[in-house]
Amino acid sequence: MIWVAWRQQRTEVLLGALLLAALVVLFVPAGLHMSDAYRSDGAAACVAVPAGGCEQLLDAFDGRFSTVIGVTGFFAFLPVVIAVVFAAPFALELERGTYRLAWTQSITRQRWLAAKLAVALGGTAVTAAGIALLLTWWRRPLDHFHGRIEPGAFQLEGIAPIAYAVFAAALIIALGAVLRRTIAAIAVSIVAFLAVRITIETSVRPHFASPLEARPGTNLDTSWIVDGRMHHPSSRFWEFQGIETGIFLALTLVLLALAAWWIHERSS
Amino acid sequence: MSAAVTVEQVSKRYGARWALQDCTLEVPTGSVTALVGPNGAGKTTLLHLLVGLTEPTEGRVSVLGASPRTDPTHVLPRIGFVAQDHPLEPRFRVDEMLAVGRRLNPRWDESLARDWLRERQIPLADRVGALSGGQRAQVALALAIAKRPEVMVLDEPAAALDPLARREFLQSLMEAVAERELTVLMSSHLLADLERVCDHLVVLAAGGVQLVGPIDEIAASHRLLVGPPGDEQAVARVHQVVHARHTPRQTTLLVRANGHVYDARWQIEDVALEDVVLAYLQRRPDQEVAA
Repeated sequence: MIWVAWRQQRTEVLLGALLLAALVVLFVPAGLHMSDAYRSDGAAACVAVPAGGCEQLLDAFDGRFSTVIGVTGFFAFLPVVIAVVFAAPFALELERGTYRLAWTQSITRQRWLAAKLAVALGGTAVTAAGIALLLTWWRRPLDHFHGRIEPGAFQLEGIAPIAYAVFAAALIIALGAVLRRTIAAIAVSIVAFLAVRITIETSVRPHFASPLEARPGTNLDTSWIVDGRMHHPSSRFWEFQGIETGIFLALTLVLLALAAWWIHERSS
Repeated sequence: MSAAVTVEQVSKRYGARWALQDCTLEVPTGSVTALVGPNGAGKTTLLHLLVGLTEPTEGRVSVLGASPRTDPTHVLPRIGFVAQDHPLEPRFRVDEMLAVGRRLNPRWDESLARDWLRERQIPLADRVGALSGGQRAQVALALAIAKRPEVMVLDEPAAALDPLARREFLQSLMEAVAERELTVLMSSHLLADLERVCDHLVVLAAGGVQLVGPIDEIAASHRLLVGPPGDEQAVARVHQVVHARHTPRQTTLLVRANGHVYDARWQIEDVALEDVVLAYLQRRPDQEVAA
């Protein structure tokens, strides 16, 4: 069944690879350019040994790459795009009834579902991981003086983007199983994904750990300021990534359990 | 002859609607049974129960002695199922569809599948989506037959086909039946097709089994009684009146005769199978079911 699921998703795997390749083509040269500029403009020196004119220098650096940085602002939607590529065909199969062919061969529904999920979620995770790796590499100069724990960077780097994409895919799969309508499943999934992401980012993540109070005069450029002088330092990046990933994977498991139960219990 | 398929007092409800109510029937081993009824009668629901796609709200279904829903790995390899509209993967090539069958079934006869398709001139390298309706039906049938099943279940397999493709499909099916011991249960709303190939009949209407039995017995035991206008009470005391039509000039009764009909008032005629089936389809759900 793994071969069957893979053959069914062959086009989607290619699309995912294309998406990754397109981003590589865009971001590798841009990243190399930015790294170079970081050293030659004196920004690196500023971060190492903060001096007088550094603030303007770093602002100028930011301004120089503002377009690319602005584009990555929209990458909050990338997990959904990846998820739609890999999970929509699953919902389509349920809507059209072509699953009946596989269910009446000789395998159980569970085996069918396990193979389908492995391929769809595996493809989602691998594509998202590739993109996260690419963007983490690209952002290194910016991370040096902006830190990576503030939400704009946090959502692109590390392992959280993988969990976001897998969660979005699980949403589409679960809603596809329940609604049997692909377009409705995708639409509701997008809304639900955004709602969950925003809620966790604004209301839950600030409480992953107790914020520290900064002494007056401390440079908080690399921290995530949550309230006045209360902040989370950049050193907490991996701790927060772990908690965020854990939350989204737990939600994913709940959704997959719902999908599995629905498919097993609900007939025809 | 034991039964390949047993359905005992099966009812199936979808939400508030009862698709099947108190259905009991047997499909004898080795028979070619037609499941006939109007659209919405519950034929697809009944067939889906037999292949484990759904389970009964009440009652028991057993195929080759086991439940297809709770014991799929033992039962499904022995059932070949062709669903309505012959679902296949449109993006797959024909030989890739055969690979699906090969990988998902423990008993798979690849050479049988390939010979089957070659005899019917279906190219293995074409995409399924590019085939005609008749060719897709043949591919779906090949997938079911190459499993080497003991029971074939087909849901309106020829409904969407043009007359020539329909004839070829039924011919292919009959060849398969002749070559190996197969029990076939096939649903249709076109009785004329099935009459030629089937030896058993199940009439399903309004979610209930109206008539079950061997075709020649059904044809032999039903009679059309034509007589003066009047009531049917005298006849109904002895025989089962399936359908009555009263006009000012005459009364026509279609009866299932309980023995010979001794009544000089009535002109007794044979009935074509199609008319028998139509009469049962017109019965109201509250009328008694023929045993």
